[in-house]
Amino acid sequence: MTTGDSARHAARRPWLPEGRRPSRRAGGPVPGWPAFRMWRHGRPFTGGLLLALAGIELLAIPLSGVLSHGAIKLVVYIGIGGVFGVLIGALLITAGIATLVNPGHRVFYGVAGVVLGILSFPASNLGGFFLCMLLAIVGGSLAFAWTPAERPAPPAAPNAAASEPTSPGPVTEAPPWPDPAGDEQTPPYGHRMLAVALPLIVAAGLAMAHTAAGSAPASPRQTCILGLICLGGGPTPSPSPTPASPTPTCLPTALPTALPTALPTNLPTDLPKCLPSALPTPSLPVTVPAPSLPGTAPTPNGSASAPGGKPAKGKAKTKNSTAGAGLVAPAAISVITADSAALDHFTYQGNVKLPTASGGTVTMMKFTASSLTLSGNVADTITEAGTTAVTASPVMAFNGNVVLYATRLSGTLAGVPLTFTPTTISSVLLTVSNLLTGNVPVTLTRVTTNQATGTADSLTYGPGGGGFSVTLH
Amino acid sequence: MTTVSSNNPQPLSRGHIKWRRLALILIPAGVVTATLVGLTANGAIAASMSVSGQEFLVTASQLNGTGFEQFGGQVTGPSGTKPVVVSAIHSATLSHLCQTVTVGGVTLKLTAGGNGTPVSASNLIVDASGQTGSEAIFHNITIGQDSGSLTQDPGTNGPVGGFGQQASSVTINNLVQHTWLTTAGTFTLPDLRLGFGGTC
Repeated sequence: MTTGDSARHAARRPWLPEGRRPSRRAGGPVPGWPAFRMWRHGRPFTGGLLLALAGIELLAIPLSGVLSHGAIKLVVYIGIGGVFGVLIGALLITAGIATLVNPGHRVFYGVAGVVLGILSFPASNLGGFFLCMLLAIVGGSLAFAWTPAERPAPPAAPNAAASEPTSPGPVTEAPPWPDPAGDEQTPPYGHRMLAVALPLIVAAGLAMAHTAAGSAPASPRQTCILGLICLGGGPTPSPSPTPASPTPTCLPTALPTALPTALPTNLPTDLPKCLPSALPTPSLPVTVPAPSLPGTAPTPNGSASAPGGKPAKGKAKTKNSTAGAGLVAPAAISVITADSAALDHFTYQGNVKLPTASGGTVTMMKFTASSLTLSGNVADTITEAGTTAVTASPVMAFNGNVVLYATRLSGTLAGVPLTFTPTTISSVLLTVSNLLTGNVPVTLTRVTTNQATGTADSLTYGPGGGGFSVTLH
Repeated sequence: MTTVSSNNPQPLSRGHIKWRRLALILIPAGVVTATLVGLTANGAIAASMSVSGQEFLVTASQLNGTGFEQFGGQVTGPSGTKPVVVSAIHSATLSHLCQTVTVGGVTLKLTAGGNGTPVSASNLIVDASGQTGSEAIFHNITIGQDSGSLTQDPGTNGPVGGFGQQASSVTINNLVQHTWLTTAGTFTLPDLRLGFGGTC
């Protein structure tokens, strides 16, 4: 970088200031680049620079794109590894700058830089894909091995010190450090001991980093480093198990018995007694559909919570069911289309008010099936925030305890085009009730499902290697 | 890099590098580094990864994971904002993992988990702009769940109101992903190889 500098410097100096910058020469004793050069020669410049560069490189890899996710999500996204990277990167930059500003402590900063560089390998992207690690080790070593000018030229030092606080500066300014710049006088075995101690320091640091990293998967809280950050996403450690138990135990016992017999008297007492136990989890909306039953209760609808597989016949225009625990309908628009759908034990369970994140509910039809296999140009299209994600596959197969919620389901059944919506489904089902017995596999063709929310024991895209793809527009 | 011998006639105070001191620190550092790299390449030490800010390719012959969440997101790249699919897996193993990254104009290709022992990753989060595979199997799947209320990977959630899906376990064969962000709390990388150039 600077091998030929001194020669060029000497050759250029006589004419450059006069030809180009006469005013500057008049202004100060050593202006512009020469001053910088002198400053640079008075400290381990290359070592400090490499240390700082190593830190910047280490920071750039995890941070450059993550920042676009927004500051709140930052730590959640980068996780514990990114935090190590940020920490080590920041320390490396600090060590590099400190080496330049305070060259008297270069031995400490140099060794620290080497240790940090080595630690960055397991802690952050394999040491910034080796680059940061190499830069830090080389830079730290150069800072460690740098030696100020020899003593034999004592008159030179005061000259240099006249313009900038170079090597002699710290001698007078930092009494605790006996002779920071003049390392010639410090006993050499001191550094030798440091070099011997280095592997020990590294080993200890490694052990710490390793235990920290190793313990990461054990506790689920590790993804959010600071408790603060997790709050934004809503810490939902175990909402699904908790509401699962209250719903079956509490609601079926309280509601069917209390509702038909003593509506006005029992409701205020029974429901509050029951709800608080079910509500304390964040998934409050899960149990909301059940309390909303009284709203439909005045119309004597005995099949409100009937588990019957067949569509309710007779005068019941709508029937209601309960949503699965923990389900919250998204606001995004989703459509699933397929050439055909094979439905086994397909049953309409009733209409459900699924809670939404905004606090409202959306009325959906609830179907159950033992299996649901969509085939032929299956496309799951999701539109939100102006972008569309399409998951395409020749086959999309749900198996085991399939529960499907939808705001609209259309297809062709035995040549008859059908469209189900929560308001029309009962009357539509009456017309095809002979086809939908619930026990015979049904095949719908040209199927479209809107706002599908569902659960199943398993879902397979492209079974047998049929392939799938997710594309974004 | 820096001038060693000062043959300058000018009265400048010039420091220089003492090569013996350089060797004194470089040699032990090199030994420690080589040991560390060796242990990591054997999968004995877990490494931590977090890459973002550019599109890169990740492939694996098989991915197995528990605690799976997926939802939509956005990243800002050189060509503006791009939509991505965010996949979060609490604990994953990947066979024949291959990843290419471009750092400073140099393309690095990283492969691991190719000799029988798969790569394992914890708290894996991937922002993908595209994804293909030969087969994907999810167990205890929920689709169409508000992405702000996902529970399978505790601590990770998508935007409220967004479309999300989650599963207790996932298996994807012949996975190919174009990703903008990959981060994992820990990565054990058995049979790690790092090379320049090439594609996965």
